[in-house]
Amino acid sequence: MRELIRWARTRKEFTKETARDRLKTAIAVDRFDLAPDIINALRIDITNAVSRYMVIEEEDQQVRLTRDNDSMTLVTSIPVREVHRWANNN
Amino acid sequence: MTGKTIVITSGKGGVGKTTTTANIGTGLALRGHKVVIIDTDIGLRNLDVVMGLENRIVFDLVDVIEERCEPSKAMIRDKHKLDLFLIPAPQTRDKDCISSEQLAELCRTLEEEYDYIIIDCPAGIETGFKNAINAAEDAIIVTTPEVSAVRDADRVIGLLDAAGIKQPRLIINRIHPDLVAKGDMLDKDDIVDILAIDILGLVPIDDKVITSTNQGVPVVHNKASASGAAFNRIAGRLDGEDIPIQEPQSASLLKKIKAFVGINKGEYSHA
Repeated sequence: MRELIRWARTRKEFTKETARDRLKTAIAVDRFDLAPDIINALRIDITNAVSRYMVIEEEDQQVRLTRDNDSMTLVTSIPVREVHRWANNN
Repeated sequence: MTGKTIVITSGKGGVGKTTTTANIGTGLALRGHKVVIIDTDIGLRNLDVVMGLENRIVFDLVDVIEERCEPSKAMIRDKHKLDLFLIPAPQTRDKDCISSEQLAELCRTLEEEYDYIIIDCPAGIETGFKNAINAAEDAIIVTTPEVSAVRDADRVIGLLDAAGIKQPRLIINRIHPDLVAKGDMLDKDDIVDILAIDILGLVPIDDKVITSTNQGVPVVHNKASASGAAFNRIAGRLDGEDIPIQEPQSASLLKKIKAFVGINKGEYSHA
């Protein structure tokens, strides 16, 4: 009988462990999200910074966050029309 | 002396936000404070029934905001003649009928005369939520030890932070001590670890909350009940008293037997 109880105890997985792990994952994903107005503010800031050095196509810009396992990357794609003369190496 | 406006919010509905609001407001009034509770859940008012004041409503929050009556006319006094008043939500109006500035202005006016203004926030994170948090300087988040409720609490912490409320405090409601002991329910430490927030109080699941709500008397009046005692401690902490956080304990076997045979109707106790 005692063995049986011990066996049942070692076999039992606490459901709160599962709850905690699932919750951590869900919250990590939620926290990675940027609000649309914040993305837009970031896009404008990036445009202003980059525009100091080169002429860019404002319409075709992309700014997004990508998530890969435990890390996050900010990916921007900005088509460049030309580099300002003063910034040019020649 | 000017009062303080505190919003009670949760994100998720059904976690006991309205019950918590009624009990905190009553708890503070029992400590001798002058308290106004504002129900901002427009179209879905409930604080009136939880506090047993549903038959006394003449004017509501929107009547005050639209200046059809003085704030005092819409303030319904608590049944026990405490310095406790409820401004009910209108039941038939559109939920966008008040603005954030109007609610904030009302709170500032009330703060001149009352110690605590407690705002019961609607569930969700839409306009009603935003109006409520913008009017307050402090926030209490209510959650239950469930994945969905804790996740929504995390969202709300982020939104409060963006609105300038940096240190909200958490109440974990409806804790089942037996399930926690068995490892089948998230406990205080799990939740604090995930949300990184200060705890204001832990409230055990308690049948007394249901029976007292049936009667329209907040359970905080019943200091012998486990939940009533928990809400009293919460009111004390809000009031600045240093009361240690107590983890709800399961009822002893003897108490369970007594409860079963009806000698002692208290379900859980605090060891």
